[in-house]
Amino acid sequence: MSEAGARGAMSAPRPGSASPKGRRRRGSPTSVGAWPLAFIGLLMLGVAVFYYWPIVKNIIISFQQTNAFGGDPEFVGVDNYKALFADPSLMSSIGNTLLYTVIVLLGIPLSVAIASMIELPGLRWKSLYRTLFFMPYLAMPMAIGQVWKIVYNGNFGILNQVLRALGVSDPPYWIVTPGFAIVAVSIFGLWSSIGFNVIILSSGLKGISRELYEAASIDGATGVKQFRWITVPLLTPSIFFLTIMTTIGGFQLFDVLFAMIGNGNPAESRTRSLVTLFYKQAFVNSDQGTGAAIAIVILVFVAIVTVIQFIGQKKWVNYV
Amino acid sequence: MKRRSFLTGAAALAAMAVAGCGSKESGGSSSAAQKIDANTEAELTLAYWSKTQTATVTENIKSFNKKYPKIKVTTNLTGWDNYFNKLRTQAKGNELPDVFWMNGPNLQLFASNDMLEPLDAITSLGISWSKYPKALVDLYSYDGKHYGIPKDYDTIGVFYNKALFKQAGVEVPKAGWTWDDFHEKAKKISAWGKSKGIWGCASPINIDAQSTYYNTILQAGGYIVKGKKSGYDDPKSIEGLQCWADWVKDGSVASPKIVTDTNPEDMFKAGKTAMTWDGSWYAGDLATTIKGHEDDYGVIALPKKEKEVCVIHGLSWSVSKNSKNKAAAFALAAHMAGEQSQKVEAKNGTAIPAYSGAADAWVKTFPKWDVQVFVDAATTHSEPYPVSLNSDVWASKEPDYFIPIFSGATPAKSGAKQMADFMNAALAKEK
Repeated sequence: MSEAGARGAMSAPRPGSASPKGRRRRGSPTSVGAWPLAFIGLLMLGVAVFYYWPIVKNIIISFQQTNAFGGDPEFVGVDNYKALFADPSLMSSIGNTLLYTVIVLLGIPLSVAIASMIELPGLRWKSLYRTLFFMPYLAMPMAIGQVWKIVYNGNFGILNQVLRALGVSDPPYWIVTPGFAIVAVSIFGLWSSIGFNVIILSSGLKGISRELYEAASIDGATGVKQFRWITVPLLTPSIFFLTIMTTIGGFQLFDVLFAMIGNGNPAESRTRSLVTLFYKQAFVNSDQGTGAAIAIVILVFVAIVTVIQFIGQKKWVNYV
Repeated sequence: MKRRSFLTGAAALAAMAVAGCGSKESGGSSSAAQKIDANTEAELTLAYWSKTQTATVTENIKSFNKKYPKIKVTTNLTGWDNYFNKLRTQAKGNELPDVFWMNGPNLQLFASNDMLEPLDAITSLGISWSKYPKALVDLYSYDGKHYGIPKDYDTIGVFYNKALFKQAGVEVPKAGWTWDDFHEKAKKISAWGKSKGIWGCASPINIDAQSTYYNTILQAGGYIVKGKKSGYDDPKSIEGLQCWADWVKDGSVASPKIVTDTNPEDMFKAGKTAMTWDGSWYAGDLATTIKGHEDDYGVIALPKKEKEVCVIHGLSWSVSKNSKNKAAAFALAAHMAGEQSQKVEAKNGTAIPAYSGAADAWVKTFPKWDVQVFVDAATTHSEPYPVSLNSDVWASKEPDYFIPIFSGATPAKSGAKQMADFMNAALAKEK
């Protein structure tokens, strides 16, 4: 008897075991597949209810106009989309979102450098460094957003105090100056993404066989060459994964803006992301139809960019 | 302007509301207020937005529990910034708190969409509408029914720091002062305090219209909304916006950037601004912070322009239409707005109680300040806070158009015109 069978015999009624006598259990057909299907089905039901149904519902709402509380839906065709594309704030939100995403993507090369240094053979206190870099990722974005808001404060923030000490007489008000604000927020986004990146890349680095490096050094390749020709190519799957995650995360920019920009900020309209625009339409202006249309635009946007990335990966990602 | 005009203004507003909207049937639950006694068991949620009022809310719930020991009340505090976003979202999901703070701009929206329980039957629990200012009772009425019991009212004044005036060598403001007096003083203090990071005046022009430009617009003779028409393209209204741009331009008043980065109320407490336009609600908060130094501060009515006028607003307690324990919710709302609780509000200096005669007790909690100006403003020269059926749609757009005006990036005339166009379109869409 196999091990699994033995365990099964010891435990309470083991579902799905094809007993030769074909003894029927209550509510279960004799076939092997039924129980696993039941479990998968339960999960699929959850996914359907909590993921797919909202998407379908959102598509429906995007063709409707409702009252402020979602009642009295009225079919309006593509009116919501027309209104959305006529609104200049859509284009500026896309621009802000893209700028943020690009800046946060710059964190990936930086993370590769940090991770490679942390994982250098012979380096002491590796786990301490890993912990230090990972810590910011554990804190809530709202909380660190508040801290950074104080750092960026134009009147008494530490950043401007340092600048003043260095002789800059009139340092900017970072997160209230239109134009500056989105960059300041992106730098914060870059900073807070590094922890997660480093952990992913570290595990990627550990997967690279030491023998490759040994072989390379026998052939006379130095550290930089090893990094360029072994480390980077073999890290590309991890880098690709991070690129996808960071891009999607960038398109979903919301919490940081919510924490740092807030209502009445002079830079509010110049930092508005697609999701902030969605929030404003759906929850502040109670215009759920247009809000849902924005959500669809975000979905299509993310889908297109991700497809492009997946097509592009064939050119640069090495799966060993 | 006399109190009468304040009252007729509010009455007109209520009339507009009645005319504006065919309301839905509201379920007959007038008996809801009746079945309750000391043995009633229930669980209620109560929502409000001001952290500084927590002590008073808690104290009043405690006295409520003396009457009804088996009713458990859970409080729910959400910051002002997101209070109504949250409430609207809760309403969509039928998850409104049982009893909650309501304000003027949102009353019609919630009432016309059948989210609030009519409170007319609450008189059986000892509430008498005549005990509250008629303007506020009207503000919280819709389609002939009461949807909120007034809790308090608030008017605007200027808080000033006598010590800073003295150091700058500027005379403190005197009653009957004008925009020019205000400007001159602010300018002088800013010039003196610039190197120390001290401003003549810092006010929340970025976010709080009620404390700032709604008043100047009315003072200049303009208006914000009349029926389905925006007042922002009126030359007088533009004057009320232009003044802030002028004051910011020459440095008398802190720019929108500065007051966004640091809350003016905090700047004032920290001695970084000599004056701030703020509501009567700030008095209690300020008094707590500067305890022992009351003599260094003062309060005065707003400076006047063409006329002396100030925006008045007040909050109310409302009950959710979908409350599962309506009888208990009625009792709680009645208690929170009732005489006993209103006296606690006054005693704690929380807010000017709406309950007839309780305002004096509030005034007495600030013996060193002339807070009577807030009460006088309400009775002699106030106009109701401007609202429409779905106020937030246009009100939330104001910063987008006005902050560039105040910071000098857009001329007041064109910015105000754009805002008026947006607002007229939004008002036309209201149904």
